Amino acid sequence: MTTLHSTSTSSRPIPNPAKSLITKLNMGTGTVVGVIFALATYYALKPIPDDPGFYNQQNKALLASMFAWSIGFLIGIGAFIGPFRWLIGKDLTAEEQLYLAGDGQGIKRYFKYCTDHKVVGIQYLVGVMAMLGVGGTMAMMIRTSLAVPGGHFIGATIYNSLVGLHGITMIVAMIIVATGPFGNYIMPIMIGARDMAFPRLNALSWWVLFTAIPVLCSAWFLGGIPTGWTAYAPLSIQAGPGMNAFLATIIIFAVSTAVAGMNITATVVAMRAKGMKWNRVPIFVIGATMSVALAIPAFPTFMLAMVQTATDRVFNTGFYDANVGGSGWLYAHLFWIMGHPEVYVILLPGIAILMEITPVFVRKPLFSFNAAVLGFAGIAGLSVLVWAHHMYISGWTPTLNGPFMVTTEMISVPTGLIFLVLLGTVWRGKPWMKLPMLGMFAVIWNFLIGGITGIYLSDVPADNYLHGSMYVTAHFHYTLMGAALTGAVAGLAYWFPKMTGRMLNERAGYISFWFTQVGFQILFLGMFIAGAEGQPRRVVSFAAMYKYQNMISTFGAYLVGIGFIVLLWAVVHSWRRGVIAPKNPWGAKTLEWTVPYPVPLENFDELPVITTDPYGYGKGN
Amino acid sequence: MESAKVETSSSKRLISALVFVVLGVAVVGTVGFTLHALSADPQAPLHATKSSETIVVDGKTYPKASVTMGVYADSAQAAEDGYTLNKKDYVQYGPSTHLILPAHTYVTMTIHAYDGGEELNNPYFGKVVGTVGGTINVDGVDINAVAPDKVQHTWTLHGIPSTSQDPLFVNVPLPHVDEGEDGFLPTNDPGTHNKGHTVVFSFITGGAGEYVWNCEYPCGDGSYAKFGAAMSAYGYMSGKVTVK
Ligand code: HEM
Ligand SMILES: [Cu+2]
Ligand SMILES: [Cu+2]
Repeated sequence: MTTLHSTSTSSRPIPNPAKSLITKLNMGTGTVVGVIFALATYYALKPIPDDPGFYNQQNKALLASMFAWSIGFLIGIGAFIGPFRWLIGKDLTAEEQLYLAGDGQGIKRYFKYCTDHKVVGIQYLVGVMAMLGVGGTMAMMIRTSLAVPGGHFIGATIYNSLVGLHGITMIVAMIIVATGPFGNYIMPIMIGARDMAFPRLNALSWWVLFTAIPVLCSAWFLGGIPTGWTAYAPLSIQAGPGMNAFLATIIIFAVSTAVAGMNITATVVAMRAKGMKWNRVPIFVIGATMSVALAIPAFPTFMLAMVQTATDRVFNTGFYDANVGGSGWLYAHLFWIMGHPEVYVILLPGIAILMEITPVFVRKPLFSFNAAVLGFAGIAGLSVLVWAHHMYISGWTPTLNGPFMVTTEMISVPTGLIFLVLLGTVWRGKPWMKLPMLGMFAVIWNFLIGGITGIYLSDVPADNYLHGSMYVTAHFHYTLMGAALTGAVAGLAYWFPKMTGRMLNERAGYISFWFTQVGFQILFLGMFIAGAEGQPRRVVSFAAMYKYQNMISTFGAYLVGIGFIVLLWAVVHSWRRGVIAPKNPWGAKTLEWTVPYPVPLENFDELPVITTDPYGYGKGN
Repeated sequence: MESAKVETSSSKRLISALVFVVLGVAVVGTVGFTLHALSADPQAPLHATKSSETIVVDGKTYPKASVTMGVYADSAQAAEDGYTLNKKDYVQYGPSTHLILPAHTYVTMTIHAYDGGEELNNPYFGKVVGTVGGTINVDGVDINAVAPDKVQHTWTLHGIPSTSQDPLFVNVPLPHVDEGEDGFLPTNDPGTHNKGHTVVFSFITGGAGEYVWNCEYPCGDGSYAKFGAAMSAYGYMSGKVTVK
């Protein structure tokens, strides 16, 4: 990207943090205050006797203490010091602000309420990897149990819990897998900004999310989540105390995404470098922004669905209880009005990463930036009009099945544009087959299968048969894992040098790539066949006729598991001892490659001025 | 500090990667075996007592076996019959809900049932299905159904759709203990045995296989539709049957 330089703006004050409270707060103090809050709330509410109108006293005490934990942690880590100081008229000094940004604090700042977007990006990256690791381990347990008919390696009760926990852990991880690490670390630099629009909100979004992790883990010790990740009512209302952890997790998570979504949107709208008109914004930034902009209206309905489940459980409000005038359909609607847009919230950044990568590795401009933006916009727009394709079989207004089928199938049109852009960019190019580029080819293949099987599912008569089967499970794994996760891993390989200063080990990356991708095809091929033959999803036992399909699946799953362990090794090893990366190892033209590693606190000495789009390969600059 | 470290030698790297993979597999494996151990059935199975007698049914001769269980309103009641395994104070079957029955055998089961009851969700489960003669014997009287609003629990045995094992479906509704019969509902005075009902029935097992059984009368605690507590925890109102 061609840049001119505007005059320097910052003459930094010398860091000399005031000996104020903020220097003493960190994850540890947050945990202590959080636990105290939680215990105090639990024991304060526990003795209140059951009211006949209430379902369960335990639900009330547990839920309240989970929220208390979250709030207590945030207080303890100092999340509210800024607003509080402002409120009492003693706003943070410049030095304190600088301290909050983690200036000169080395590794410690990763455990603090740190406003530097690069720190938040790394926090997200590590958090996401941990979540994927836990979710992946659960997947291995599930597949082991399903290796043979009636195998029951894991008992039925634990199996049910695992399926729900695996689902929600992975969905949460996938929602943040790209926008968390790369949206925070890379994106502000990409648009030539010194930080996010609201650095404190940025830190808040991460630490709020962080408080949801122990809450979700507590589900395990409270009897698990026996409902699957969709938590349909009335199942969720009958379920044991572990369900409270699910509700609290989602409510806390929704707060985090709302904060993050506003922040990212505001940053991209308001903080772009001089001269970066909308048609000069890197496509990853467009994709990530559309994704969070889609999440902003979608997630509140999820939160509302959970709040109502919680009040049904605690106060017997009966929103979803048909016995007292509620409706289970209400839940399904609220859930899927979030749920379907959410799958594109996950997908868009993954695809956008590939669009960012591909021009760099074929040394050609992105094939039609406008088509790409149109594709994203079309998908985002249509995705809010298709939710009832998850409810064809529920009996809700069958006359609307037809229209929902049409809107769903219409999504293939903007999706087609996306494919065209990617294929057009590599067309007649000579791809430089580095790790990030491999990911792009894998995603083309995987998303093709995911999308086409999606069209079968959106066909009402076909879905009559396929709904609730392993076919659905295989479909959405092709899209979520095959496309979105593979895209994110490609992004990790691509931006690893900028985020860690070192190259990701290429050989281990290849080995991991082939293990995961080949294993993935085997895993879900078996599952597609079993599903097409009618094997129900989420069920611990299956009939003998599905024996071989499941054995194949489990075998594939183990390959995937090994592939991801190798990837983890590559990340850990390369982070510590990898080859030191040059400033711009891929010869890319976006702004993040113009800054050195470690990236200075305020990213740019002089803010860049943009005069062209970032894909001007072969145009002589 | 950064520049001091360069890429390690390739053999060292290979070893580190291999060790890492082995460790990773070991961690996942440990989680797996821990969960496997956690999912083991905590109760000792209840073996049917085989007898030397045989019986002829529809022209075929079968060996005989028998097994006895109880249904209790709470754990104190169960304790009076020496059944103290289950931790929670739920309505429960005992002494174990995992039965082991001999294959191709005429099994006679006796259930002492001490609980009250309300109405079945699905009246179908008020009918007797799958027993020899299609009847059960309640306190000396043969019947083939219990009114859906007079059932305390059911013992409903069915196959899991996992193998090609012989089908085995048995549904036995247990008539409730009425307030009038002994002056109090068992739940009003926990720990006191009322005289209850003695239900006797027989069925014929097929070849070896794994089956599950559960109660089809939602009898869990006050949470939604009474499917909580005892109904959603294994070993109280549900169990398995191993035929071998
Ligand atoms: C051309 C694109 C797509 C079409 C036409 C499509 C269609 C469908 C339909 C009709 C179902 C409901 C099936 C059923 O439950 O019976 C479904 C399920 C699902 N799809 Fe897609 N889909 C598409 C792309 C995607 C993408 C891109 C993602 C994620 C990134 C995704 C994730 C899911 C998930 C998570 C479910 C299952 C949710 C559940 O029941 O647990 N789909 N899809
Ligand atoms: Cu959908
Ligand atoms: Cu029962």
